[in-house]
Amino acid sequence: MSKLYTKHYLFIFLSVITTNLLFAQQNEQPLLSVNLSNAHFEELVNSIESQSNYKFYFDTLNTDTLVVSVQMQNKTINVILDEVLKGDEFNYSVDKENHVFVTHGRKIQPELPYNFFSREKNNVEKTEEKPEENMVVDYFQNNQVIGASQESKLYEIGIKSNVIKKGNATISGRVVDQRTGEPIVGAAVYIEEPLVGVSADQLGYYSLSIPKGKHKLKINSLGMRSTERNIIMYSDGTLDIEMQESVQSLKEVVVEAELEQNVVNPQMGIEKMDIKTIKQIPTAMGESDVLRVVLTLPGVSSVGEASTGFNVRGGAVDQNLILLNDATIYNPSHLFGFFSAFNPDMLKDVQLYKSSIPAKFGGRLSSVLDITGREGNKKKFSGSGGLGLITSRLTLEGPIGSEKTSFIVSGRSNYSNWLLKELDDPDFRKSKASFYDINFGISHEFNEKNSLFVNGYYSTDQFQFRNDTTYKYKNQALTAKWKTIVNDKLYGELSASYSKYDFAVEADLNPVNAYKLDFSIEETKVKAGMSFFPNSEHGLEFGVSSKMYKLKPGSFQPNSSESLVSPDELESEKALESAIYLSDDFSLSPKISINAGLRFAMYNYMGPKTVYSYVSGVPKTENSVLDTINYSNNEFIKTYSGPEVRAAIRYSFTQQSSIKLSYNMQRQFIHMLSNSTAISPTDIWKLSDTHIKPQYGQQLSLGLYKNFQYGIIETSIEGYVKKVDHYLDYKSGASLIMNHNIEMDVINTEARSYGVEVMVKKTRGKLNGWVSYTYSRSLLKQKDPIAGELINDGDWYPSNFDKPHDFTMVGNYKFTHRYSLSLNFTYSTGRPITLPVGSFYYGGSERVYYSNRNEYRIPDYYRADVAFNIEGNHKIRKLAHSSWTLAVYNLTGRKNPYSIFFTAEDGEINGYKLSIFGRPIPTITYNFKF
Amino acid sequence: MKSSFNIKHILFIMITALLAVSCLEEYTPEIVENDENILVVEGNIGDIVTSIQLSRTTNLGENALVGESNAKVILEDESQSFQKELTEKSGGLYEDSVILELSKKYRIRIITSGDQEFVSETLSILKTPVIDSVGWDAATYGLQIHVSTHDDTGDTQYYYWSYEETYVYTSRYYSYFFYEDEEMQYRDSEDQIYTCWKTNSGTDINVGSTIQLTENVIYKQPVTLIVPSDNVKLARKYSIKVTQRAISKDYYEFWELLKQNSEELGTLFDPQPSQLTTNFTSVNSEDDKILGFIGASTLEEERKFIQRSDLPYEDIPYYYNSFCTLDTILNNPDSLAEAFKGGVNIPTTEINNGGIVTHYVGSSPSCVDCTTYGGTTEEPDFWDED
Repeated sequence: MSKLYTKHYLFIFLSVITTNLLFAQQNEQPLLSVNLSNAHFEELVNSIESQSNYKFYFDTLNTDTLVVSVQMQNKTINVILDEVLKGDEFNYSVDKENHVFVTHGRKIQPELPYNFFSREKNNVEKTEEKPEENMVVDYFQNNQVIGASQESKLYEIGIKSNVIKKGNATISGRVVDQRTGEPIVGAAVYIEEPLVGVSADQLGYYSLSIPKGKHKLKINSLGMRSTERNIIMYSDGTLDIEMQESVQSLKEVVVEAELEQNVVNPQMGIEKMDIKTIKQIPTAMGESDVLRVVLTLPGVSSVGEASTGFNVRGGAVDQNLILLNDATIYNPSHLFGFFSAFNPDMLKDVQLYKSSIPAKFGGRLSSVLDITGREGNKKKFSGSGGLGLITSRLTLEGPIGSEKTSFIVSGRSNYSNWLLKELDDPDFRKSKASFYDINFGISHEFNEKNSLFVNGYYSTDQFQFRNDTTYKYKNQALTAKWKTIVNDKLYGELSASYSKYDFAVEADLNPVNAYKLDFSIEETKVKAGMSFFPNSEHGLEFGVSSKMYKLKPGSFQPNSSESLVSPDELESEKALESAIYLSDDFSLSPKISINAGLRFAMYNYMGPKTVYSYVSGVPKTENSVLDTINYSNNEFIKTYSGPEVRAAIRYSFTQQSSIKLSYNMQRQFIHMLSNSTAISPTDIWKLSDTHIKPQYGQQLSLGLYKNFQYGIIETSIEGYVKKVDHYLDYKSGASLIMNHNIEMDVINTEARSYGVEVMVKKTRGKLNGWVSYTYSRSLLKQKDPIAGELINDGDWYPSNFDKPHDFTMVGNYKFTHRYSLSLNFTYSTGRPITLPVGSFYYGGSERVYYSNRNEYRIPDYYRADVAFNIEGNHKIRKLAHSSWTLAVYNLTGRKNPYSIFFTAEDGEINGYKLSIFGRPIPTITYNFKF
Repeated sequence: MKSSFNIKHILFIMITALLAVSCLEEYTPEIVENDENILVVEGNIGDIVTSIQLSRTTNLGENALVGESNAKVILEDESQSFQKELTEKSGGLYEDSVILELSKKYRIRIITSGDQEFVSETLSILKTPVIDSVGWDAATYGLQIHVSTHDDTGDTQYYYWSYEETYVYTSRYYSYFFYEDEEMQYRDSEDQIYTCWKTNSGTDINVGSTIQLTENVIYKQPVTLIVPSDNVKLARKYSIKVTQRAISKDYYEFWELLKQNSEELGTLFDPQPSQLTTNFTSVNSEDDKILGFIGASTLEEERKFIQRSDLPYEDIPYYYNSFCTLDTILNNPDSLAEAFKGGVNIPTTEINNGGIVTHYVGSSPSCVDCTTYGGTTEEPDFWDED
């Protein structure tokens, strides 16, 4: 069909034919009356549709700027539309079935000419001789035709009968991307009366039990054009649905949430974003960045502009579970946090759970960031990539053999060393910093019920300062997942994953002290989960999972033959973390829906290991060691276990508004040891053991949701209270690396946080984006009586990321399909800081005396960024489709403090404020796709 | 050794460097005045000399040592059978030569004029190993002075080094005259202001340990780094005296904490400031606060001389002020008074035309008088030792 419009002379020919057709129709046209002034185009459509059996097809993106003023009595549709659309570059056509197509620019020819297919071959040859400028293909119009024809058709489901009996029947099938054949995971499939719906599963399959009869089946998914099917249900049957990307083949800029999901789903605090949303947000380095975008969401903050990790609702960085295709990623950053470790070209979507964490996830207190990679294109070989000032990337994908198997492979690398070479300081000229990452994915469909996915990830960073100390760290992950459909009510998923994080520090400038320090953590996980939909009222999920941690907490070895460094190695650690879970998403009535889940987690700390026991009631020191116990291999040293309740309830006032309440319980058995403000790549992880208890967190949230204009505008307000026990802090001056008895240096801390998040989001239209305001507090308190000196005398004090006020605006305006502008604005209270309040002389210099911990704040933060996206033209025979992004980060050039520090220089204390992005930073990125 | 893990500091520097867009500004926080002036103690019980410095904390920015005078500082042994009150030498410095026995344990008792009483823990006097050498490495980033030592007995695992550096420098021009009482007079060579010696105490905290090594060896422990391109220190001859002290583990940890708190703090990758420890306790009330540590050890010293000609650097400046010009002044009372009265300029030489002095030549004090830069014209006793 798409070839139709490439044929110039054919077009003229067609025009003649269709004009005739239209004439022929005019005789039977009904007469209509319309009275509108300054109305939306949609109101005109409603008016006409209500008077006749005309059915309109148009795109609100184009027509939402169209204002209609018309007073006409008893006129035909052509007279009315001619008047309304004159001069606005809009065209319309009406076909035999009274479908009215309103388009912007080119007119749609609703009928194929007689003998069209047999002539096609000839035409191709002719046009290739004379390609002309105006042979631009507008994919959008094209798709509208295809979509419309499917949407207008009536699908008969089941065995046709003359009389439809009462009762329900099940419709099932698969939702896939029309272009790539990829399943559309999580697509919402529903009918509105009665309101019954499901989400497509991991393979794109859905199953829905609805009353027999005629329905309009609606299908929505993030980043896809919403569609609908007119169905008539006779009995159980199947219907496969193809969906299209919002605008095909372009890196389009559309924020589209799962329509009404925010109101209907009982779970709360879930933010889902597709790669398009991620790509529209301007970044300092010119490359789309998942973590930067996550930071624009309400309730998410960080200690500074370029720091690793993020804080969700007052939780620590290590309390976030970051999953890439089900495998845990321990360090999500490259280059000290300037880049996230995830290549944007590989990503499909990102889901952040910050209050209702589904029962299938566990092990971290604050949030789950679930990052899903794309599947390779199953239909054709293609590639994409980008060139920036500091990084470049390339992705290739395509089918292997048949359409059953596909691959995707993607790489990214930086070349920032030239930047270091430009600097004046000779130390920096000798320094190096580099990173790269590689992703691959293979998917194979055995049959329509069984699929296999294999995903791999490798990322590494290396930097060297002044020819001396070299730091390296890397993430590795491998996942294999098998998805199966037992029947249309029962789905299963079995996965095995392995992930590893390790770092090494090497110094060899001074041969006598030359050393190498190593750390690694490995995680091997097996998981089985089932989804069961007995009827439309219940959606059950249950499963088991188990993972084995192996941790090498530190090895310190000589790094040269002359080195006198004495080899030291901390004992390895091993533990097993297992869980079983069951959750049910059920509707008590159309108004009340409940998601109740229970997860039971068990943790076994295992030998071989030597463990000290201490005199109770006194601080743990070398002097209070009572006994030394040796445990053999795989012997259980300490077991922690307990249930975790995950519950959420929704009450709908109307279809467009609801209230939700949720309670969430979490246990965390792994801790990151860090006593600095920001975490660094060389912070080490520690497993819970005899002395270090698991962290335990609870959260209660309440939210109000209301949508306007059929979900185009979503508003919400969510409040939460959180409490965490056994959060770790450290004694003054504790050394965390190569510490054989870390329990002697840790202090148990209590944490609490609370806040309110308000958000208004426009999901579609030429102007889209969101505005959010968050008020939140995050506080800590040391209450450990045997810890010795207590921080701030044991009172509550703000955490490093306590920023009470936060305002974010993310906006995007689309001028045309080719040009769009993004604007991003963010304001937050400055983070807390401990300041020197007094000074004294010591050791030949002035020294400082500090305030209570985090008693003061750095100045407030605000920043505005802007990005302008230009898509290349859409000539069909171009080799590659390209786009340019021109962006300016920190438009106003505000010198936001990254850090404030005090240092003794020549015997005097001087205070400094460092701004790392202290002026507007323009970037340019070129992206291509072929 | 601990400092070898200090990746975080380097990380921070790298971040700053990576972005040419970063910018560093001076910053003075607004802070409520702090009335709490806490007593600060620093010092050492030595086998020959015992020296204790008492001071008070001040508000930030006041930037002065506020010595605590009129306190009773008593050196005593464990049984209090031996007691000696130290003499206050200058504002808050209490010092006396007392020969002590290495086999016994001693402590310090402080009674302030405000009747606060503190007593230190009892300490044995540690025997400090001899310094093997003080040396230097001329790296591109600067001249690294270092110290090496070892302890065959294995008793000493923690070290503290302090240093004192002395260097000689000259002004740009030699002055043969001085202007006084409206008259030009010859300057005697003893009154010369051309060559000066300046002595500084080290301001950095230098501690080290051999705890992670198989042998009790300190090899090339950095003491100080001199950047040649902006330092007159190396203009002619430079000397450094390194003092080494064996310290206890607690004392070492105290220095590390102090170092973290004042030399490397506030960046995102540094530890949060911690509470300083002390080895004193208050005798009367828990509310009486004290900061600081004292040690007990013998001292070892080593001096090293470095000549400019020993060094490979070509960009060492010769003078503090390299932008000097000479003015020629007519030899008449009014012109001379205008030019030289009140020390505005200092005369250097005369212009003699056939026995008649027609002009005097002069320049600003910063080009003529080396004491402008804080040095003294007196040569130290040790200067020609090498």
